[in-house]
Amino acid sequence: MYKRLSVVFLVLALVFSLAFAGLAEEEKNLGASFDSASDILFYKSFPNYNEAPEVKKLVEEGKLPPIEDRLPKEPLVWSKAMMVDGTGLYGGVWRDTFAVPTEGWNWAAGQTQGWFGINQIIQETLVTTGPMWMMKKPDPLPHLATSWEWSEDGKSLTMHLMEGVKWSDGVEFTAEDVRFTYEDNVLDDAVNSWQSKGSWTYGEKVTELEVIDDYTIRWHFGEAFPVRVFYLMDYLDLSLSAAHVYKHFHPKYNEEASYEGFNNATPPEDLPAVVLGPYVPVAYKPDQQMILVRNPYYWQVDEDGNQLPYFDEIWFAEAEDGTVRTMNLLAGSGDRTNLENPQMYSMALKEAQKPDSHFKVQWEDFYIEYRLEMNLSAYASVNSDRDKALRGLFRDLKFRKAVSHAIDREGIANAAFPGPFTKASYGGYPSGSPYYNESMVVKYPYDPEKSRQLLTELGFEDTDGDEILNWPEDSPIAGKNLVIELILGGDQDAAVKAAEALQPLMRDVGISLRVRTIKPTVQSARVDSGDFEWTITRQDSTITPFMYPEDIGAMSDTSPAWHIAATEGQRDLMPFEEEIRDLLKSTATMTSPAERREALEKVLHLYTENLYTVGIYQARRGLGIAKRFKNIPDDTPTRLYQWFPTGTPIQTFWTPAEDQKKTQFQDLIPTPETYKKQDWYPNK
Amino acid sequence: MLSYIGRRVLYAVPLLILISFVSFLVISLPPGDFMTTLQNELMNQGGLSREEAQKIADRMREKYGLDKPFVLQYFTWLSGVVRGDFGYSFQYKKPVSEIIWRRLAWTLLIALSCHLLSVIGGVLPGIYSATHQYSLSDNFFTFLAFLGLSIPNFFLALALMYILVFWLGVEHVGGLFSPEFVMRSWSWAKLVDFLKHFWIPVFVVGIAGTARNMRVMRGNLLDILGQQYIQVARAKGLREDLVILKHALRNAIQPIVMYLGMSLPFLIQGAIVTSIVLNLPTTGPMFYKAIVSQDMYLAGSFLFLIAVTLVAGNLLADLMLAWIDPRIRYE
Repeated sequence: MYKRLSVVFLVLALVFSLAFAGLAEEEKNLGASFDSASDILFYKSFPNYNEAPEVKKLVEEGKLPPIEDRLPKEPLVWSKAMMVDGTGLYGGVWRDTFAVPTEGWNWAAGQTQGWFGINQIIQETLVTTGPMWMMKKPDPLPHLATSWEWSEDGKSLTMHLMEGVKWSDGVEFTAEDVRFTYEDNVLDDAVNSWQSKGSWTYGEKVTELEVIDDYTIRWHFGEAFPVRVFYLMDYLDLSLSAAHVYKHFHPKYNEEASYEGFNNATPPEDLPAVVLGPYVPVAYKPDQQMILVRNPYYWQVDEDGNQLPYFDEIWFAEAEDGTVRTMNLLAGSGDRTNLENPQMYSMALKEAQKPDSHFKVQWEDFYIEYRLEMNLSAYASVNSDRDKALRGLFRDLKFRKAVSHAIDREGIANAAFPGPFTKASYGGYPSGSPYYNESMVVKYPYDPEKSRQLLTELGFEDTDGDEILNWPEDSPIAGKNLVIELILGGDQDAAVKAAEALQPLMRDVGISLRVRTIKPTVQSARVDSGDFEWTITRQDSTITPFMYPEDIGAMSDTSPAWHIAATEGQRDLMPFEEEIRDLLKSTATMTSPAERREALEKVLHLYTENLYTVGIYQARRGLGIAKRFKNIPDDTPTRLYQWFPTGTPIQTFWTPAEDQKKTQFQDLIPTPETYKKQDWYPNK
Repeated sequence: MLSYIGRRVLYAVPLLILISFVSFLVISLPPGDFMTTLQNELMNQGGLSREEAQKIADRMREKYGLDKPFVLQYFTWLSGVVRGDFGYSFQYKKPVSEIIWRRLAWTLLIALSCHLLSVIGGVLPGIYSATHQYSLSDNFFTFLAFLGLSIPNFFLALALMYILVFWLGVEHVGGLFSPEFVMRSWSWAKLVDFLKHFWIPVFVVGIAGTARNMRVMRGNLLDILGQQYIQVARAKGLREDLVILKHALRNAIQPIVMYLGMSLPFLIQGAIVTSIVLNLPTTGPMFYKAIVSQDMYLAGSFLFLIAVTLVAGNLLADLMLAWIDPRIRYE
């Protein structure tokens, strides 16, 4: 009998598991899949290349040179292995949304093209950090620099550039473009570039750039092996500028030019712009729409020799507010959004789950954290006895522990959004960080009784029976209620919700928390000057502490934001803060990823053990994307090392022929002649 | 009459200077400035460290004189305004006047259409309601008017968008055009697409004004219809339509005319929240963004323009009243 039952059970189990296996869609993940960068991209020449039909037509009309002359000797090839749906088809339109006015096209001078992906789409760099999430041992990948080597003493770095890459106007990209971007933008104090001398200073020496020949450059550093420098050579920090376009407007090369004129040399509406990226902006109606079409000179191909990108056009609708991007996706007039605010999750999920929904939502790992920052500065903006008493209290680990024990993190995370998208955080880095190690995290979990006990040990007692603790006798504000002000920027809905949830929890242990929601600019200004008690921030960058050590420790007088030095430079770092700082500083020159990891894990331990900031909850961001889009891995992060359009190369996305939206702007594909009509174009 | 207008304009000058000073002061009062917004943007979008971002922000402050005392900043801006230069918008990286003009055409079109809707759609049913007091249709209009008055227009916009998108499956409702029509030159298809979008803001914003005008018209006309000169007109044997349109309406419409003058600033301001909800390229959302990010020359200039239109609107309303009502004389 039992034998028969067990056979039936086994058969049933087999049937169910087969059914589930058949039902479950195959996951197409790429996270930590590749051993080396060359598994993702490499450089290779092909006997024949293919190009999009509209571009081919322009070649036949004699408006563009043949593809072999437009591509470099050895184009950059994205491997088949990183294309989860394989090599693609040409055609179709990608519909997106942006909500920041386009300032102009001179990005090296600090102008934004409107964020929301536009900047990433048109700018290119020497190395790329975006796809590092696909690597088992993440390190920057080659891009326009194909390879590099360190000198023996580690103070020089020689980089080899791709040969024959052309800007979208057909002019060749050379080492002069790198030199111009670095020396005449980054190092020129009068240009508001995205980085400055300070970030390029190692061992008190500003890094020098030597041009060896058109395709070889050499960096000279004041310190041996400053490996963090690779992160200064990626998107935005050193997005390359077209020297042949902008030199003419730079006061260094033109006596009649001004810096104002240089910054605004290429106004937003004077299109097409000269770019190295896969798409060229060709039309812009401010406040309404921007159109990008393929760059016929784009220097990247797939393994079948097809010139990238696959999509023909990108239409960016300009919105009044960033949330419109999500609304457009839900309504069906947009193809992509980032879901960053837990309050939006439910609506997006509800729509995505409908069988006829045109989009899906993919969830990344836990990459963002909401944390409570207490002002630990004993000097900055200390103007009263109350300030003095509070700062002294915040600097006491016993108090920070009491606060941590008072927080019901699971409760707050569930209130933000119940389910697998949020969870408790105990500080340091979010658990999705490549440097996160659970065993190094010291937790002070929810235990209000213990919290009350610690506060009593600190001398606090409710002397007037109003259920709020009173300051001890030896305090300069003895007898007063323990009241703490928490300031928040009004644009951070999720942080405001977390603060509101903290209020009753703090009251439960006798702390009166006054939450003040203020203008974001006011909150930033107050935090920057050290004029705050508590604040809650959303952290996107602590996931990669190696790239952003300033958000973790005291790397300068103004970092970390919750313990800045006073105007006169006074600051008493606590011993654990000094230890964290030294460890973080040492990672800048650590060439071994394993060694770096070990150091950053120690930082995580010190950070959580001492409750440098108090973690509240962590969340996953979602990527809302049209189902017709191919080559989007299921585990694509919206931001890990870079934001989405750089993290997963958009030039590899495609859509099946039957799902392609009708193009409208193929007659705007630029040729060298198109540029000559522009007022600002120098090589007429 | 001319000397009256001259006097009114002269009185307006110190008033406008005072308004501009107060509005400039209010914008500058909170700590931080536009460069704080820039700094946040550099950190959040550009991925810069706080320290690097702060350095760039400080450099920009120096460049644009934001590190100078408030009074100096104010007078520099005011002297520019006198010369027709409203200053520079940090956010748009363009002269303020250029940005305002760019958005003014759509704003005026929408606002004028809303006014038209509210006057025609409000006055006519108002007259009907007053002349058919307590009838079924009067009650119906009254119900509609209360509904229109009590629903905030941004909420109506949200509800309407929800219904159009999720119930009726309309793919694109925000803005003034579908994405495929924005860049096209004007054609029949583009006009149809425009009208498909345009009716939403006009309906949403215009509905409150319509409801208000309906109530005001009904109330006033009822008062007037009870007065003796109307009885005299009727006793003379005048036709009822003449009694109402020629004698009663002229007096009853005065508050609506007065209100139209006072709402002139609305023409350039637009309905801010509704415009944000409906993603309209009008001046309202731009003003809101300028206030939030402390883009002070843009916000200050805009407040100044609103003040100018308010003063001008009041003057115009007074003049129109004199034209409608022969009893009013300003000499």
